[in-house]
Amino acid sequence: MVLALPHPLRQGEAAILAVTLGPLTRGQTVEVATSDGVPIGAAAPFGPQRGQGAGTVTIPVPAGVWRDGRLALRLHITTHDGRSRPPTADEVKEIRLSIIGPTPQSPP
Amino acid sequence: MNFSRRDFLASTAAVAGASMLPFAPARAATAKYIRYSATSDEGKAMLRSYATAVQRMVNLPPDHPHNWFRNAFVHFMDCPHGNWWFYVWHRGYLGYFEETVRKYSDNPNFAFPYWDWTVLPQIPNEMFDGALTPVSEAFLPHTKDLKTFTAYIKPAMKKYWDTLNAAQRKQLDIRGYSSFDKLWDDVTGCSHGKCDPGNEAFAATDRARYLSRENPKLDDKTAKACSPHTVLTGLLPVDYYNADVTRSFTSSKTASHNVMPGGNTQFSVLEGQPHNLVHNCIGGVGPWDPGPYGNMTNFLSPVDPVFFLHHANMDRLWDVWTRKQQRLGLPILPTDKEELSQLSREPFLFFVRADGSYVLDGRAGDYLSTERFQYEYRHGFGDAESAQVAAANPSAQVKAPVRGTVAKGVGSVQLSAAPSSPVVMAVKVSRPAGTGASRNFDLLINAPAGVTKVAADSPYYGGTIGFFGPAMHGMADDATFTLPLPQAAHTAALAQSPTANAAAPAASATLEVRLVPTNGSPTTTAAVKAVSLQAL
Ligand SMILES: [Cu+2]
Repeated sequence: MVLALPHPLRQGEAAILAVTLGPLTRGQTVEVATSDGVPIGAAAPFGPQRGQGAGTVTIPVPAGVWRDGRLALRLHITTHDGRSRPPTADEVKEIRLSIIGPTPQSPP
Repeated sequence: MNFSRRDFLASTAAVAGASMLPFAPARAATAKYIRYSATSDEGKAMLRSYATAVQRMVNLPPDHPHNWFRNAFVHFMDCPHGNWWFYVWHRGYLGYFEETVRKYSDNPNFAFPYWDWTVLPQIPNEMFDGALTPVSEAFLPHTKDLKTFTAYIKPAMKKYWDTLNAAQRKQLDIRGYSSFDKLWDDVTGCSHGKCDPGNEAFAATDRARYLSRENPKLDDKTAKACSPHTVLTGLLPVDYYNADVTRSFTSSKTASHNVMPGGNTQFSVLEGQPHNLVHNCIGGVGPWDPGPYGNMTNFLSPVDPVFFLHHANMDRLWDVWTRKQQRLGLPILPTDKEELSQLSREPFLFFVRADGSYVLDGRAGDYLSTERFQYEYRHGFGDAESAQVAAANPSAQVKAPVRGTVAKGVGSVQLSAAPSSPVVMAVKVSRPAGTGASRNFDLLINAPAGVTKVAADSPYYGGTIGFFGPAMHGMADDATFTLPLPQAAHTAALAQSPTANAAAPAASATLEVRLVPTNGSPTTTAAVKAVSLQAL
């Protein structure tokens, strides 16, 4: 999947991915990398899992991985047998890109 | 923050070097106890006191509320994860427990050292000694296997369960523990005869911790989650809570702190990344799939003494975030009255005091500041760096930096009198090339010409900066380091200024800064290329 920055990052701003996960078992890790294999981060649940979904995790995107304001992502899920495969739509439900910065948001 | 990763690493070293300086936040005068970095001399001394206390608490009978495993059950029965009470609950938990450990350690000054995994992405070596690891003789009589542990602690836990009041039982219901058997299911990982070894909170002695003295390093993914970039981004949000989790310092807002993480949970960067991955890595998620895992992976994680060093660092980062907000003139808690009340009135009913009594009337609001437990942190990663965030914020009332001048590798910058807030010095340094060139340099402030070596308690010592990795030939290898300006240097400069007199220090003074190699030949020294001061 390819994500695009709505505007170039200004000083003090950072880009964050919000990755919404479906039910994972212990030991399963979702790895997020660029399409050419540069790792961005990983997500794994902590504590007992009761099959209801592992929630949304937020992962900062390093500045160096953008190409013309675009980022091509590749996701993998590692499983108990040590193999990795692309996650299903049930395992990774949504990915959202957000830009945050130190500038205070105006109150809603 | 247009720092490269290399700069971040470099300034990490600078902060590590500066961590023993007497520089302290404004409320230093009120803090009675200091939480030091586990790698400092003071931190290592604390670890020796800690080991004494752990051994004693492991040896207490299982119906004693200070029994080591009983304390871990407080976490097991009540810890919030993936919600906005994560920080405040753990502050209360660590706070009371620190008082208890102080009592059993025979050290009246005991405070938990913190493990700054951004600076040191491996378990501190001392945590493999004696009772500081759950893979030790000290734990063996009780945790040899599940049968041994069950016979040892289950009767005492059932006895405690039967004393719980209605309010406590209501909390446990929310957690899914409507009966003692359901609670015990998460100790064994089994329910109605079906077992998931990954959910087993108990860990046998020989598999109680995956990382070992021979293999102490966090794996690459976990180290990335602890990296300067991840941690600084996690400190960036300006709201204690925001419905958009990417803009929120804390995780989801839930109806109760006992709502267990599930599909709707939103993890803030710091909780979801370094917090979770460090727990999992130490417990062996990955190499020990599909479980059972070591203690750190499930909610009996406080059985592993490293838990408290990990959580002291999480609590420290909350404190770093709080002080960043204060510098920017931003709120440190929700500003909406109802929202703040919702946060504060949440009951925390399972903590244990150092006198052995239970805290049956606690609320989240009791633990929103560090004052109740009278501690503060010595500097670690994030302090000086989040000052950069403050400096980069165009909308906040931040004073402009004072830029200095440079001649022949020596910087000179004007310091105004006794600022009401801490001052950070940014020093741009050109790295000397050549084989055998030093990588660590001490920053000297107003040192007489002959001085080429200083100790950390010298009034001329401004901190240590360090370069990582090999020097690249033929490339400009400048890096900017940020260091908190030591209070001693500040005071000395004003008192010694030519315009000072016996009655009063000067209104301003010039700081002259130069670098000397920390160890080794003074001929290979690094040059100062720029210097500036930033009042926070
Ligand atoms: Cu934890």
